Amino acid sequence: MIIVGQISLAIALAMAIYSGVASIIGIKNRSGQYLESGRRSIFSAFVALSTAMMLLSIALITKDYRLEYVAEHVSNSLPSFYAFSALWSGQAGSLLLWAWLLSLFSSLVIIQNKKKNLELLPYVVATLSGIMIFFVSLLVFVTNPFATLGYSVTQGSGLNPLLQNPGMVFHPPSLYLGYVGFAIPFSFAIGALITRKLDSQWILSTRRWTLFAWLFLGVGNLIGAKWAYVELGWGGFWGWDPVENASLMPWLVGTAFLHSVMIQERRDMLKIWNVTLIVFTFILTIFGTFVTRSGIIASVHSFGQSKLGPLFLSFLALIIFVSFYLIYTRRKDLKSRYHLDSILSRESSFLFNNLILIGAVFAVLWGTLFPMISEAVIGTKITVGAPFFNTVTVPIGIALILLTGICPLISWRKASVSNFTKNFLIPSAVLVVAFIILFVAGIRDFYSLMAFSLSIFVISTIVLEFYRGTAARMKYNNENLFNGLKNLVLKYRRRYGGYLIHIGMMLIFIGITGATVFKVEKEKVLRKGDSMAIKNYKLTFLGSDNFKTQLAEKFIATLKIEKDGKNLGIATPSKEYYYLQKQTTTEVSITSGIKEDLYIILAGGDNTGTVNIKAKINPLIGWIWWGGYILFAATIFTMWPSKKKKKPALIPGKEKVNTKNLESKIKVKG
Amino acid sequence: MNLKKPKFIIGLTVILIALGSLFYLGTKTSMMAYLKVRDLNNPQKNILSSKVVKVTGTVKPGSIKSSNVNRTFKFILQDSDSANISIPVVFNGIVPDNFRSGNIAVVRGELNAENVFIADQLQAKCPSKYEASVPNEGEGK
Repeated sequence: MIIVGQISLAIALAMAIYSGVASIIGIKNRSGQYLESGRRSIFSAFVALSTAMMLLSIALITKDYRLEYVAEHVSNSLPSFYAFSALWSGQAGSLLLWAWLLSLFSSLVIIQNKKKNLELLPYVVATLSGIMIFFVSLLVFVTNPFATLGYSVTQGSGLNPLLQNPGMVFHPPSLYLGYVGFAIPFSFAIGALITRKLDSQWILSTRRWTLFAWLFLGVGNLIGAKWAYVELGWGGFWGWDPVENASLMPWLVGTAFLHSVMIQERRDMLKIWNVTLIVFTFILTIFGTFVTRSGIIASVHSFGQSKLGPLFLSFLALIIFVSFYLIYTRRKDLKSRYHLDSILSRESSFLFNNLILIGAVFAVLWGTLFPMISEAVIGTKITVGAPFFNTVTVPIGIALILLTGICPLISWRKASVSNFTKNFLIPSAVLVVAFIILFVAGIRDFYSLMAFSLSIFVISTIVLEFYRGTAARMKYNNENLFNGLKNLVLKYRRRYGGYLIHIGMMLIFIGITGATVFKVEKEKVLRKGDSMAIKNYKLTFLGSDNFKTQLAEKFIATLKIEKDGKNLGIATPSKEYYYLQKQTTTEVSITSGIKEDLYIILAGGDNTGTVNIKAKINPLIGWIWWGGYILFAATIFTMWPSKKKKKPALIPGKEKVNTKNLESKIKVKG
Repeated sequence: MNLKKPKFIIGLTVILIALGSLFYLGTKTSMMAYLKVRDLNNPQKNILSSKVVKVTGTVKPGSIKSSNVNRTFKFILQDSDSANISIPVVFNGIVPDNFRSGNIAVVRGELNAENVFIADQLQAKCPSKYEASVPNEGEGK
């Protein structure tokens, strides 16, 4: 079985190389046969990598300790669920997942494009093969998941208990779906650059892929945040750690890209900007993978230091060189015939949105690399850390919220003053009222006031858009309220789906603001029967309990929670000590509500029955997760193919005309 | 794309200046030296005027002592390369789960008059050096 695994990796590498070479020969000689065999060998690579994935999963679940990877990541008592997730808890396994997803996505792209994009596809396949060659080579030559241990063990060293959480099962794969997903629009961009077919075709053909990658990268980050909140026992959800930043950056650039492509699709502008954005997104996904694996930037998350660093760096350099060489040599083809007409237009507000997002990316990049740069320049490592990120990203975030409210209400090309006033009168009134109410309610922190009231402003603009669209349908199409709303949203999925995504984002912003600025915490040593108060909560320590399971020894404190004198039940925060890994984990108790979470940590306890309890009130934190659910559902909705339209992405010209017509119809009706 | 209209230039300039000043201010106010234990008293490495620094090192095996039901922690932080250079550290607060003897820790704080490092923040590293430490950690090395 081990041999089969090793052979399937070798076959995958051979197939990826063959596919790349055959595609290039096919392109040079205009030979359909070569191109076809290149495409087929991508399928073969997928089959080979699937075999490897399956074999490694079986080895992990059956605990086949002959494999080094298995011995290092699972143990006899580990449940199969987590044994399977060990597939991506280590270096080799997670790279295998990367390569496998890439082969899966590449195969899907080939199937999707059987009858379209015939000119682009060979280049897309060649680019994807190139990326695949890199990842599969790492698996074959550097960090082989099927490497054998060489001696026999009867017990593995197990999965770190901190990783034994549902978060571990979903967080890394979700991020990988995002990371790998961006390889598709990137490859199409490279194809478009080489063939100089730089209209919107490559963007339209990969729009769903981009949304898909963007969604899973974002959701992966949110799952990571929730996992940190629940598991790590410090009550935070984001620490500006380099590894976290590494997965935030491509998401931010991806967000900019998703917005600015609309300008290219509609006005045929910003071509060079869009190509550059998608190239940057992909570069940042590789950079993220590099940061996680090289150990070059001190992080609490990174895999052990390894010799993968220089290899990733070289690959990164290659991508940067090729992409920018292509962009530079194609700069004339990337020029647009059109100009921005007015500063008061949808285009220019999108442009500002882009600038601010890119500003945020540079802020994160600057803060992440600052220690490395300072060490290289002055010989001392200087960190900037969380204070820097907060100083810089909070105002940027607020500016972004403001633009989210303004953008969709300004018309394309040139907004008239009357149009502007009409659209903004009600939302502005809402903004002012919200600001005053929040101020009277006692919020004095300027940034929080802005973040809350602007989020409410954005939501009100969106509600108004839904209202106007529905009202127009009710009036002109004689539809009732429900049908009007339903048809409006179903007909213009992209637009209204986008609005719903914005609502999700606003909830996330509100949650982040509440949980960061208004948290309260208190720590107290309690004897049995003692109680402590935090805000309007009262916690009474009822007693502690100590027992042993097969995996760990547990120490549990039992507390009664009361809020304003009303009994809310029992909380049981605990500490668990895992024998095998000699690792303690703190299991917090969280009582969630719409307004706030009560977060209780058992910091310590002794054999006299005394415990040290830390309690925190995290206001509005649940809104982050709810915003995430909305974001997820709304993005899926936006991506969902409409039944009525006949393959709109096929003919670029038509798509543009279509949306323009629809848009103007809506405008007229609204 | 024509960005030569004065209004655009003004808009772009305003954004760039705002971002630039944010970067500058943010960097200036949050810089902190990140030192190895052996460089703590080295003026060539500890170059910033602030006494508050971050120090990284290895927690000396067996040196962790907690008191007051895990509220105060005292331990010895060794230089990760030369174990004979070390400093005593006192930290008040909750330690992360992966803080234990022999692991790498990063503390933030300053040395007091008795040459004890008073930390107000403690991070531990390596749990999610997801690769566990087994007999032979051969992978990728």
